[in-house]
Amino acid sequence: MMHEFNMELSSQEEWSWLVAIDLFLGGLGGGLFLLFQNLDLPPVTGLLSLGLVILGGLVLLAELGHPLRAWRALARPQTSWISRGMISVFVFIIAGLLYIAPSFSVFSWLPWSPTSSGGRALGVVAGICAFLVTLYPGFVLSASPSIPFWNSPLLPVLFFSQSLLGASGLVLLLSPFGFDGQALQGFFSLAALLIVANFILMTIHLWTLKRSGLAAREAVSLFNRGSFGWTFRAGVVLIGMILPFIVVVWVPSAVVLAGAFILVGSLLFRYCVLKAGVYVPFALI
Amino acid sequence: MLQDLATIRKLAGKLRERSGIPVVESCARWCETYTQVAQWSLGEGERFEFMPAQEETAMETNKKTVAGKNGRPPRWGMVIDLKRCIGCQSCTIACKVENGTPPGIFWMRVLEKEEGKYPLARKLFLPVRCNHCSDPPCVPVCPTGASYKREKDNLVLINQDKCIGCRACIVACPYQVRFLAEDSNGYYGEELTPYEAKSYQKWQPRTVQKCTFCVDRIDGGLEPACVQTCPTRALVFGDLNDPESELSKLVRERSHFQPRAELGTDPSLYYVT
Amino acid sequence: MASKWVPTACGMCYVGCGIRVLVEDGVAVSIEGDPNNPQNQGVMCAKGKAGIMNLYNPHRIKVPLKRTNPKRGLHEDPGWKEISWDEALTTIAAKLDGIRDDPKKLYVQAWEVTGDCFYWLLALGSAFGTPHLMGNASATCGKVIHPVEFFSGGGFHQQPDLHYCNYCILIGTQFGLGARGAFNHITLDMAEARARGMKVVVIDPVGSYAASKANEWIPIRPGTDTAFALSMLHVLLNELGIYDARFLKHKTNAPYLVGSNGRYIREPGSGKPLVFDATDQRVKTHDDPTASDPAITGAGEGGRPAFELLREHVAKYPPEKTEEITTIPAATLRRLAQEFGEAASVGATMTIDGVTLPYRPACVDWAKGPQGHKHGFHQSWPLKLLNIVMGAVNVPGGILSTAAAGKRPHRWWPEGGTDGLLEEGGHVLPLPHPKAFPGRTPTKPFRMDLAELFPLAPHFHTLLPITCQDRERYGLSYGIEMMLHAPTNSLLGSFGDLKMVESFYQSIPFIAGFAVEINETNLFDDIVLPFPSYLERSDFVAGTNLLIPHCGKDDWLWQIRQSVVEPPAGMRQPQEVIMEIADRLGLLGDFYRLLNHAFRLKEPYALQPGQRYPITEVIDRMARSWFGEEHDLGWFREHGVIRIPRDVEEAYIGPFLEARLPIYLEHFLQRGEELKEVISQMGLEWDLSDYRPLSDWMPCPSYNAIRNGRYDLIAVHYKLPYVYGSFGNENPWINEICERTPYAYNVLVNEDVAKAKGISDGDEVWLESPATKVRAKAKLTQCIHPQVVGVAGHFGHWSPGMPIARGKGINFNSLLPTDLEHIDKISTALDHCVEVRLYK
Ligand SMILES: Nc1nc2c(c(=O)[nH]1)N[C@H]1C(S)=C(S)[C@@H](COP(=O)(O)OP(=O)(O)OC[C@H]3O[C@@H](n4cnc5c(=O)[nH]c(N)nc54)[C@H](O)[C@@H]3O)O[C@H]1N2
Ligand SMILES: Nc1nc2c(c(=O)[nH]1)N[C@H]1C(S)=C(S)[C@@H](COP(=O)(O)OP(=O)(O)OC[C@H]3O[C@@H](n4cnc5c(=O)[nH]c(N)nc54)[C@H](O)[C@@H]3O)O[C@H]1N2
Ligand code: SF4
Ligand code: SF4
Ligand code: SF4
Ligand code: SF4
Ligand code: SF4
Ligand SMILES: [Mo]
Repeated sequence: MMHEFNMELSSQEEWSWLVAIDLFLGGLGGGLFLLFQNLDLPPVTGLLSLGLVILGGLVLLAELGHPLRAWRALARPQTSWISRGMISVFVFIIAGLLYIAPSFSVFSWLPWSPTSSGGRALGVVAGICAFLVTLYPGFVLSASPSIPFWNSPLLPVLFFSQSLLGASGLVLLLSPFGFDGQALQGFFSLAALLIVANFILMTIHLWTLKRSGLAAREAVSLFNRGSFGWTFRAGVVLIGMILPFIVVVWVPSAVVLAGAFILVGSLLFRYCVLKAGVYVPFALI
Repeated sequence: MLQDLATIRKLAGKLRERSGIPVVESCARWCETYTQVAQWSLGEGERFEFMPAQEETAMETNKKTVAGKNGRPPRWGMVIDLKRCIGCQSCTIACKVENGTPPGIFWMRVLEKEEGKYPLARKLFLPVRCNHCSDPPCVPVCPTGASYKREKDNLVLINQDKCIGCRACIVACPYQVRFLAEDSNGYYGEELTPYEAKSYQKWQPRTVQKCTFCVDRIDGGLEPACVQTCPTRALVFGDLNDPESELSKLVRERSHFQPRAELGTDPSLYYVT
Repeated sequence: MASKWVPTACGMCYVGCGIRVLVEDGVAVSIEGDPNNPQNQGVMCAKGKAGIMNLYNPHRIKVPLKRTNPKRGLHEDPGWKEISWDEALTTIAAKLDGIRDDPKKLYVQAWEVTGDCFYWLLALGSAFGTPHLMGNASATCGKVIHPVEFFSGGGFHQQPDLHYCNYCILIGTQFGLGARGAFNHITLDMAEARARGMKVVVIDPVGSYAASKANEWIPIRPGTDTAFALSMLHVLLNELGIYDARFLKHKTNAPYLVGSNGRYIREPGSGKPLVFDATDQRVKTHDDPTASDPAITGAGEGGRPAFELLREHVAKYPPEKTEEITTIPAATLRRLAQEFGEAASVGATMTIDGVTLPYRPACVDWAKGPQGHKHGFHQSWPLKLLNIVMGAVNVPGGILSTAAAGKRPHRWWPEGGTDGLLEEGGHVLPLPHPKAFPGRTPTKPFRMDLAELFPLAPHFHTLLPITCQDRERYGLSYGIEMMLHAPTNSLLGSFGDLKMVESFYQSIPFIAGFAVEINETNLFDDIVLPFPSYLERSDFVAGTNLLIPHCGKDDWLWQIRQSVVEPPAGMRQPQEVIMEIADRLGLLGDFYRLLNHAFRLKEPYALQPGQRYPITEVIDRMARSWFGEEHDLGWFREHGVIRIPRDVEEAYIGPFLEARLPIYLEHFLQRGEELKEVISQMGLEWDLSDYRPLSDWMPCPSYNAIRNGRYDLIAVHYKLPYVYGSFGNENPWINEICERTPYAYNVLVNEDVAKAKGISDGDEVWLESPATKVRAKAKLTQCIHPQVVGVAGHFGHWSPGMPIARGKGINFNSLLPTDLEHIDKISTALDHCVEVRLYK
């Protein structure tokens, strides 16, 4: 945390790779759960989504200054999106587990099933929480009034759509283990749609910022400069969007590759968003 | 009483002998002393009565009353007079001594920025610290309640026992004045100096810290350390709720701004220009 | 937990502010300014606030060391070995004994500035019998200001009277805004003065701290201040006709009649200079009480009043000509002169405490900037003349002389002498300072520093590295064989070209000195003596409050230093160490006699030969002797400071001085001629053109080097408000600030100039002068003259004993060529502006 004694534009340095990985895993997990629920994917994907969210949580713990006090983070849902996110994660994990458990033979003794009314209720709770899990990072970041790149209502939407995109990538990656034919075709279309949606959202975000204040412009220009620029252009745009789009539209045989590309892009996207956290220098008088 | 001239002459002679230097010509002040003692010695009126006004106040503390007035709860605030501030960084260091902040962390710092083109160019000095915002973005984002606003006087404080070190408040603060110490190393490494061993007890590593307006000092009726030391008295601390305070008067009388007031944070720091 | 506030004096720079230290269980945990101390009035600067980190610097030296590696060099590892005090002092005493027959082989670098050690080392050197006593560490500061003050002010230094001044021109100084003695006092006064509307004009090549707060910053090409001053005088005297005729007539040598040979016309019998009394229309001696209107214009008796000559002389410097030299537009200069002249309110008076005084609320102040030049004396002197012609000297609102006079606890007062002119600067300690009027008769030198060839200079050490290269050339049949030094860093900061300084230090067979930490000077030591921190010491003189206190009617003070924490085991108090050396040499009697004299100690307080004292007892004696029995050491320990009210006479001595100030330096001619004689006898060829009674602008070598295109920039240096010398460079807090602002460790280059050279902000560049080339980092800025490179502070350390400071910033002095061509023939100042090339 180097704060220089001159008034120049600077990016936040608090949140970096670990947080990016956490956001990536959490988003992926939440998104996957939503796909699992809404597209009737096999129960194991549901389980995977829970695993991803738990893993993300562990990464987050590692990032905390005092992991042993993490429970305290549940204390302020009235105001804090982190609190809300943590509660969502917590409830998601419990409700999700309970919801999926009966699908597996070991737990068939449980008194509810995914289709029973109790089970459906659990499913709804888990689904809502999964949705929140994909959404809340966007809200956490947009609560920083001095970081124009983050402080935008578009950010939660972006995080949500990126979560779904990542999840679809994961599904593509895993497709050799379960889907084919019709189902796969559907995922191709979904992935293509999500890529286009994400691309449009991102373009709108960047385009709007480019026409706003100094720090916003600086953030945007970061995407065009140096190694960070390459991370974004090659990583997020080329690998994460253009290549997988080409694959799903024209080279469906390379579907696994497309899945991997999307995942890489999705992780780098989180990283880039964090890094683009340029502050408005508060006193350019 | 005059000094013994003979002794002095003798000394001067000795000196000449030793160094081979004509003493009168040599000009090191002490050498000249030998020959000039007589004329410099005290004559009449050698000791004056000089201390009628000596007041025995020396060991009083640097106390300026900082209590709320009129029964109203105070709203502590600070005026920073940018005309007076010369960028000397005394406040920066004062905060370090007072609060024992670790390497790399400055609860307050004085920014320098250039303005204008040569030759109509100059540097601006801008001391920055936590603004103790009335509507502080750092507080609601805190998931643990560690960051809070002390209702009785509007201070924004951190309960370090509760802080989990998630850094949400750091990125939420629009002013970049919150910090997290990764470890408790001192300025000379892991082994702390005796001073650090004591002052580092004032904060916990891996939790967030920031300017407290020197809460212990103001609770004890003292001005914050940075205010106390400022050599130009560019910093004025006081109660914004008291219209008669020096602070409120300055805000009334001088042109001023609150940093990034447009964010609606309502800082308690006013920069007068 | 035992905790208490202990009053003492700050020692992080030479000022000596009153502080109190919070000590908890024997550990210093906080430092605050003492509100009862009239110097700093409760406030403190960054350097002082950071002092605790110096106290607990783990790299401090705590035991005596001796060198085992006989080879000495800038980067030679001394191979330190710890030794006992006894071994250390036995060795030092034996070495001193070895040169006893010729004591001038001893060189004492005594400048220590924060405490008694300075005076004690000087006394030891004097008692030993050497004239080689260095009482000033800088190769620039003090060189001109002190002699000028002695003959034109009466004190040690100068300060604008911020209480009443309305128009303050700062030339080559950051007075009250970034530097100078009485730092915290003047900083506060400056803030108040600016708040009340005083206008500040800063004339400086670098737009640094002072310029940033000025109403107007006027960049000037380095080393051209003479031209600026002379043009200002020209506009004031010839174009606007603004000057204080009354003051000039009665309080200066303006009416002294000068003959065609440049000398005063003197009364044949008495030799007294003559003036022409306009009332009686005849010449009289200058001190004739009937001379009610000594003419400063016209002519008389084959001579003309000095003022006429001055007026005529400055007419050679129209602003248009000066514009080419200084780069200050002629129109700007004319406007400044007008504003200054009008603000001076010639003729106005004001009444303070019932005493009516002239009121001249305008002045010009200058310090380090104009002094450090090849013609440093004449760069600076005409700046003082601007105040003199306005009568703005030692009166409210004008320029004041520091510590010039006082009545309590002793009486000291500047005095007139030769030709009725001011001669003797005041000093509370009866220690005369070498003075520039009337100066001394030059002789063939005995001294290694050639003091005899600089009859008007106050300090001479800058010559040492030069003479030691070639002693025969100066007829010196001996060399410095031993050096004793205080814990400062002269090797790094007191000279120029490092190669020459290295060979000078190498030429001294034995060097012993004190150290706080092992700095670059200590790397040459044979024996190192540990020096306690200021928080572990006791001093009767704590800082420069006796020489450069704040001016005006604010209370004066005496502040002692007491130790607030226990020194590390084995540490000894430096005064006691020096006393022991004197004792071992059998010099205790002489040594005490000098101390008794300097500190005015008389029975029953005088130090007794044959006896040794703990330093606390010495301080107790001094305190009781000065301030009465009730103010003993115990009293000071409890109260810290004694406030000494000043009356109007002490605050504004101008009207009460019984001596005239010079506007015409007649004696320069005499000294110059004598010197020419000596020089030619010695077979030397010196340019003695500086020995002239009226200043002319003469360029520095850098000026010409730029003209003929061999170099394109001039490097100068300036101070930072949060750094003092190299004192705090090893302080990790100060270092952190320096690292985080781009204005400390980086060199400043004009942005447009740098860009044209393809240099960007933060680039590593070479800075090459005729003496050396160094690697630096460039800070591009609009706040600097396009022909100038600005180097801050006193950085560029390489001693392994200073791991924090090491390798940061650059050492400005190493860039400076060191030879007689770069030394002011009047003041011995080393030229501190140097031509450089800057490239990647
Ligand atoms: N904070 C702080 N205070 C100090 C000190 C310190 O180190 N730090 N040191 C103390 C000491 S020892 C001293 S001597 C005083 C010094 O006090 P000042 O004399 O005020 O010292 P500087 O800040 O170096 O100011 C010198 C100025 O001269 C400018 N200059 C250089 N060359 C020229 C020139 O040719 N012409 C003109 N017009 N200007 C020029 C420089 O850019 C610089 O701004 O301060 C004392 N107080
Ligand atoms: N480049 C450059 N050179 C300069 C100057 C500059 O600004 N820049 N300034 C010039 C001027 S104006 C002056 S007056 C001189 C000043 O020169 P000096 O008075 O010699 O000051 P420093 O070089 O700071 O020497 C201080 C050294 O003393 C030691 N020290 C540390 N703490 C203490 C302490 O508590 N007491 C004592 N006695 N010593 C301690 C440290 O080892 C430090 O290196 O330098 C001159 N030279
Ligand atoms: S101490 Fe005062 S003058 Fe110095 S930088 Fe801080 S606010 Fe400015
Ligand atoms: S300045 Fe920042 S840390 Fe301070 S109260 Fe405002 S938002 Fe919070
Ligand atoms: S870092 Fe601590 S104070 Fe800041 S938001 Fe997290 S828990 Fe709250
Ligand atoms: S008020 Fe206290 S804590 Fe805040 S910046 Fe000033 S010294 Fe530091
Ligand atoms: S001016 Fe000097 S003596 Fe005073 S507080 Fe600063 S460092 Fe200490
Ligand atoms: Mo100096």
